[in-house]
Amino acid sequence: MKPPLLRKIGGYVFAVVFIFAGWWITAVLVNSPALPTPADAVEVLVANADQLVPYFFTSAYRVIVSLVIGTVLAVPIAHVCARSRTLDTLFAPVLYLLYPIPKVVLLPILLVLFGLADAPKIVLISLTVFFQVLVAVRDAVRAIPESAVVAIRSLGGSRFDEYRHVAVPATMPAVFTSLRIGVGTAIAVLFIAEAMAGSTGLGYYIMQSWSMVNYPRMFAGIIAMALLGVVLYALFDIVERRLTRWR
Amino acid sequence: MGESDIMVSIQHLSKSFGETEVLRDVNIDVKRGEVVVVLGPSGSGKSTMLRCINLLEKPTGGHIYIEGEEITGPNTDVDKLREHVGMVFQQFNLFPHLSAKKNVMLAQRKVLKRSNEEAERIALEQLARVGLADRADFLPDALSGGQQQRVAIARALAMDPHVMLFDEATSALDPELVRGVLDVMRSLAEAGMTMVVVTHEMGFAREVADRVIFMEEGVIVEEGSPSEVFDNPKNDRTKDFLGHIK
Ligand SMILES: Nc1ncnc2c1ncn2[C@@H]1O[C@H](COP(=O)(O)OP(=O)(O)OP(=O)(O)O)[C@@H](O)[C@H]1O
Ligand SMILES: [Mg+2]
Repeated sequence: MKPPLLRKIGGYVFAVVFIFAGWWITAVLVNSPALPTPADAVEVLVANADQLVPYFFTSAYRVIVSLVIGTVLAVPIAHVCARSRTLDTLFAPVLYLLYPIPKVVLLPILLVLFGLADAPKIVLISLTVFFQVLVAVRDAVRAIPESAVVAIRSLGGSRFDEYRHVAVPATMPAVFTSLRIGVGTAIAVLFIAEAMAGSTGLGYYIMQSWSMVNYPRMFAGIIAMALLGVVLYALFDIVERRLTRWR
Repeated sequence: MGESDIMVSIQHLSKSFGETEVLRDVNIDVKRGEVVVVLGPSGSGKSTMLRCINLLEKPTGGHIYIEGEEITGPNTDVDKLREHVGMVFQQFNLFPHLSAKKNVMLAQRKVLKRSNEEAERIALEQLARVGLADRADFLPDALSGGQQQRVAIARALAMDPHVMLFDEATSALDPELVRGVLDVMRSLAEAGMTMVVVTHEMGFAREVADRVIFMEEGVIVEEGSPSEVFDNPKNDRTKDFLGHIK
């Protein structure tokens, strides 16, 4: 059941009011220049918008490219692994050991190998996304009942039809769920990578402002980074709904 | 009776999974237009036998002929075979992202290469045949289990099968939905479809079957008209089984 549109909008209005009220109260109570009130924050954001935009797009570019690379590599490998017993026996333990390692610890190595610009960040975030999508999609393929595959075979369907009409629709939700979760992780990793190395992106902007004790500027950066997360999350949500309308 | 009157001929069929022998020397001839109901306890090999008929399982021994052509030979065109053998399973397995009509159209388009218009026309015909003309645009989730199973039957029928296999088509359904599916199967039988039906619905078997086969542990232990098998079972196992079911 879909809630009526009005109720949905009402829900979002309430959420925004709730978050801003909480923020306002906290800011007043903490009373530190590092945490402005929402009114001050909006002012700061507008004042810094010009400067911020290029940093924002640099960061957005890195996350989006990484999400795409990670997903494009993970999905086919997940399908193959889930279907081939040999490959699965071979790689399941590898995956089991690698998956829980926080990929961000590889950052120093990647910085040495790839320099300070886009490449190490994109490699790092792609890796993070890759493993998340891989595991989610592989498990989704495994959860497809044998009977679904048999049914399409009995209709004369080919191997390709099995993928196109059974495996792909069955795993689409897993791809998007892992991407939506992945956005949070990806931006966290991006922040760390940008903060640690290079002189571009929102992570750098935020930490640079911090070291300059320019708290309003720092806060503008934080809001921009949060915005990046919300926008990407909402984007995946919308695309998922478009592609999986049957659910 | 001429050769051409035999739709499916199963000769000395055997099937093993590794060490376990699941079917042993099974012989069945199904005539054109005949309805054969297969009964037997769980694990007796009914599903395996059905699945051998469209090569979802590969027999380990014996021969199967469909309309006189051997399908167990080395050069069988499995796709061609499956076009002529429709199958309905216990789980309906409709495509969840497609409407009832699109479900019935898909294989027609992809496998039989029918035009969109033709596939749609046939889909609507078949949906009407199973009593779901007014549900053509519903997604599977919006249909009851019985309705989904009828869509699955329509989907199989749209491929113009020469024989239909039913593997416990009503076993996953709530009791009140079983009736509608059995009615569709009955009307198919009346229309002259050749059918091999595995079911636990004894009423259906008695009314609709031309012949009843009772299997146990991979062999046919009794075979005859419904009245022979139900009213005068010769085999003790059959008696036992029918006693339990009733
Ligand atoms: N893929 C398989 N691998 C190994 N054993 C199998 C396989 N498929 C079926 N069997 C075995 O073959 C035997 C017959 O199974 P089958 O499914 O044909 O029985 P059935 O008569 O259809 O039973 P039910 O009424 O429970 O559906 C069972 O003992 C089963 O465990
Ligand atoms: Mg069975």
